[in-house]
Order: sequence, then structure tokens, then C-alpha cells
Amino acid sequence: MSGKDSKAIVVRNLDCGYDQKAVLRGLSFEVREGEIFVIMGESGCGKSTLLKHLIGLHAPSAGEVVFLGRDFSRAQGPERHEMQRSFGVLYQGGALWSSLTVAENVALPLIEHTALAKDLIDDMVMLKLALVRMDAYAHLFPSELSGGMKKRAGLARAMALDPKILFFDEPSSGLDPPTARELDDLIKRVRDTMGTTLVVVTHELASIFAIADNAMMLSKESQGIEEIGRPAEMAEHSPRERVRQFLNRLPRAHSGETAIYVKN
Amino acid sequence: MIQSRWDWYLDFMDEVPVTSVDAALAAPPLLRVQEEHGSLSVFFQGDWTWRAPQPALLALEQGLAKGVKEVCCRTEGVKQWDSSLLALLLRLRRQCEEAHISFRADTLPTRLKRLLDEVPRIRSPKEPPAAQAGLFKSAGQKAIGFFESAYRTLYFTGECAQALAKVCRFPKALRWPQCRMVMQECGPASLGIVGLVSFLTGCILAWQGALQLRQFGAEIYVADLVGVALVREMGPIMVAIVLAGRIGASFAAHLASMEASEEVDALRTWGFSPVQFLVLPRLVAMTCMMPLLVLYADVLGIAGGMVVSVGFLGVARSAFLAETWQALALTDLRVGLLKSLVFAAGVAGIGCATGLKAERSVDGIGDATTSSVVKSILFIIVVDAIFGACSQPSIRL
Repeated sequence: MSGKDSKAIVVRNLDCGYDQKAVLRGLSFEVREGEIFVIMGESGCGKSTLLKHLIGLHAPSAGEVVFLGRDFSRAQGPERHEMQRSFGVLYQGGALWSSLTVAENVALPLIEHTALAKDLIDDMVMLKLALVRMDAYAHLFPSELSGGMKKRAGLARAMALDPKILFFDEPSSGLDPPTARELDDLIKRVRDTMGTTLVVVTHELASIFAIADNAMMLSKESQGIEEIGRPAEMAEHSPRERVRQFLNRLPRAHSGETAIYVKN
Repeated sequence: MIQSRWDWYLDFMDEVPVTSVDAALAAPPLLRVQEEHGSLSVFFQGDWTWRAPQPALLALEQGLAKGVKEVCCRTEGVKQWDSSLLALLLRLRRQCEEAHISFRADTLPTRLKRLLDEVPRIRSPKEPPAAQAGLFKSAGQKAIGFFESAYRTLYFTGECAQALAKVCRFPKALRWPQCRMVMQECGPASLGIVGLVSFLTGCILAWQGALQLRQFGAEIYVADLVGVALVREMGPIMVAIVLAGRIGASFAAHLASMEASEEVDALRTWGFSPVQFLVLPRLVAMTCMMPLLVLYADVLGIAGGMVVSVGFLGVARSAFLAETWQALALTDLRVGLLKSLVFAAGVAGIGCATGLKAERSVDGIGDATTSSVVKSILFIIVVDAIFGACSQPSIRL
């Protein structure tokens, strides 16, 4: 294992956007190995956009993303494929492949990326499903699952290749409070015992305070980072009013200009 | 329950160094088997991860086949690992259970043993027993399905008629901005493909007609053939098929995705009729635009026939036009335009209906799109055949 201070993810001068339209500019931040790093911010500030650029779904227009010392943003061909196997992603709605059963969803990465025997893969699949309490539903198709079950199955699939980094896109959304709390506990324990680096995109305050070692707040206005720090400290002592408002769930102070458009 | 399982799994993971993403595999995984007094000791050594080629398990299987009474696993020599090792241990234990061999796990780390104890409680999937559908049952189900489908179609048609009547009384009830957008998509945006298809259809008709008529020295009658066939049959059919693929399918996909994302439910909750809001603008737009497209297609199709006749068959342009003018009756145009109205209503209605009753899934959207195109083309052909039968000279419209 690497040292405590080694960096799992290093982002330098990253520009994110779609179709020539910049959403975020010049982002630079680091995520330590074994850390739970939360990306937060108001709706539309580019949290999910940043996640898509981090995991390589969109190519950044500038800057670089380094995973465990290797530049992912410029990696091509086999090297890129190898790096893609080193991280898992739990998408917001689970993103299970609808034509495959739950078990087949978890098995597919193992079948495609490993040379393990089929019966061993079957055992690994059932093991991962048992850990997220989905073993009894292995034969069901995603359309037959509830939202929480889809998320659990998605987590089993994200862990299929025992990744070193796990990304979560809005893990608590659509879950009832006890289930969301259970997922938060799982996230913490994965970090505590396995040393997995976790990057969680969320704006659920309860989750942020419960799990985050460090949190980064994005700003819609400046298209960049508002602040990085420990959530509890930021909530109390942040010099930025927007950060305190966000973390303390306070209403925004409006400026003098009206935002209401009256049509005659 | 989930908490305890995670405890064991994660504590187990914590005991042995977890494999690093970019860590070079220092030692390949090795499996050594040693048999002594009916007890088989299995030594795991090296890096046991899915990245490493798994060693052959032949020695292990041979050892098990020798009739040993006990298997003892030892993992002290393991340096890196992941869940592939755990799965292998699970598999070995299952084999031992099947062969009534004692599986000793006491030499394994305590927490791994606890995890292994927990895993038999993995609930096997409870698949429902496959229903035995007999001949009568499946025939009955099909019949019920047919009548249900017919009822839904009638109900939908009634809803459309009701909404249309409302729009006739209160024209503002129609969402004109959306209707104009659909008109733009059906009409001007379709001119290119409709023009190309019609022009080539005219060319093909002229060629095929000329091959036969030339035998009688009657090439000039190619104009009659092209003109009448296009205006009465091919023009409306080709335009309807193009719009079924281009527009009807997009109606189905759009409404199916709205159904999947609960947008249609939101309309119903607000007391808005989905037929009024979603179907009618599309129906009206398609019904307005298709006759115009058919006229355009007729002109281009006849132009295609003329290009072939004048360019390759030696027919004079003025003779071709005069013959076409003489051959065509107003009734032909009327039949063609009437067909186009029915086709338009059918294609738009089928596209919207299949979209609205689609399953709320990714597959549902795909199925609705395919089904819409297939049903629309079937509808076009069947309705055209009915028109053909009804518009014979004896019962000419």
C-alpha cells in the first residue's frame, strides 16, 4: 500500500464543458489515497459534469486527470482500458444494463476483463451480491427492481473488479433515510477497512457531514472551486458566505435586482 | 444483517494487503497440494488477484479425487489478494461438501473463517416456476390480448375524435406552437427525402413500364402509367411510408420516453388530457402536411418518369406532358389525397398510441418505436388495398 499522503487523484487546470461551452474552468485539486472526497454544490454547478470528465466519459478541453500517478486524461488504447478497470462507478440510478439480469450485470466486467473460470466468476458474483443484500434477487431484471435495489446492485457491479477508486454519483438520491444512512455507513467502512479512495458527488447535507473527510464546493458563478476543506470547519468558519449558507442550509441573501420576469 | 456481512468482509479485506491498481504482481499465484494420512493441505502463495493468471487447479482436483477425508487451506504465503481468492475458497468448500470431504478452515485467519461461515446463507434466487401454457390457454390468452388491443384502439380513436371535436369548437384548445413545430418537421424538413424517393419511384415506374410497352410500340403510354400510378397509388404510399419511418417512429419514441420519465403522469395529475396535449398537435400537423407532400411527390415522380421517357425512350417532352394531362382525371387526384389524409391520421395515431402505452423502460422505448413503424406500414398497405377495392370503376368514388 502506498503512504498515507500519496495522491490517488490529482486534477490540474481542468476545463470541463460540452459542445464548446465551458461549465467549469481551471480546476485543480487533489484527493489523497484512502480519503472520502465529496464534490458538492448547488444544482447546475457542474458536479455531474466534473464526474463525467473524471471518469473519462467526456474528454476535458484542457488540463489533466491523474489516477495513482498515471495520466488518465491522455492515456490511450490498452493503457486507458487498464486504468478504466482500476475504478468503479455507482451511477445515480444504478445504470444497470436492462437486457441483463442482476447477476449478469455484475458478472459482465468479470467475464470481459478477467481470465477467471466461469464457476469462480459465479461465486464472485454471488459474493458481491450477498454483500449488498441482493443475492436473492440475482435472477431479476433491472426493470423488476426498486430504486434502492438498483443502487445496491449497481454498487455490487462497481465493486466487481475490486477497484482502488470508487466514484458515487448522488448515492443518497431517491433513497429513504435509513437506506441512505446504511449506504453512508457502507461508504465509510469501505474507506476505513479497505483503504479505497472514494469520490462522492452529492448535495445531501446529512451525507456530506457523515462521510466526508474533505469536501470541495463548486461555484456556478465563477465556474470553479468555491472552497475545499473539512465540511464541519467550513460550515462554521468559512470566509465565504455562500459556503456557510450551503452547509448550514440557510436561504440565500438576494441582491437588489429582481429575478422576476413579468410578461405584459 | 448487511452490517454484519460487511463487517466480516471488510475486516477480512483488512487483514491481508489489498492489491494496488498499479502494483506490479511481484509473485505469481501458486497453489501447492500436499497429501498426508488422508488429509489434503492446500497452500496458497503469491499474489491472488484477478489480474494474475490463475494457476491450474488440476493438482487440487486430483488430490480431491484420491478420496481424501479432509482438506485444509493455508493462506500464510499470500501477499496480494482480492475477492477472486475468496471465491476460490468458496468453490473449494462447495466441492468438499458435495464429495462429503471435511473442509477445515481453522488454519485460515479467523475473520475469513467467519466470512466463509456466513456465505452459505447467500439466498439462492427464487425463480418462479415456468408456466405451462397449453394450446387452449395460449389461444385464449391471444384472443383476450386481441380484444383488449382492439378495445384500446377504439378507446384511443374515440379520445382523439373527442379532442378533435373540442378543437373544432374552441380552436385555442390546440397547442398551435407545438403543432407548427411538428408541421415543420413533417413538411419542409421532409422535402428532401420525399422528393428523392418520389423522383426515383417515377424513374423506376417509367423504366419498368417501358420494357413492357415497347413490345407494342406504345412507349408514349408510359406517361399514362407513371401519372396514374403515382397520383393514385405510389405517391401517397411512398410519402406515408417515409413519414412512418421518419416522423411516426419519432412520435412513438418521444411519447414513450415521456411515459418512462413520468411526464405523461404529470399531465394526467394536472387534469390535462395526454391526447389533447400530446396526440392532437401531432395528428393535426401530420394530417395537414401529408396531402401537400403527396402533391409535391406526384409532381416530382412525374418529372422522374419524364426524365426517363425523354432521355432514354425518345418520347417528346410535350407529348409526355400532354399524354399525362389527358390520362389523369380529377378523381385520381381526389383518391390520392383522400388516401393521404387517412394514412396521415393512421401513421400519427399509431405512433402516438404505441408511444403512450409503451413499457417504462429502455426496452419499452425501443419496442414502441419498432412496433410503430411495423404497424404503420401494415396499416398503409391494408388501407390502400381497401381503397383499391372500393375505387374500382364500377364503384368509382
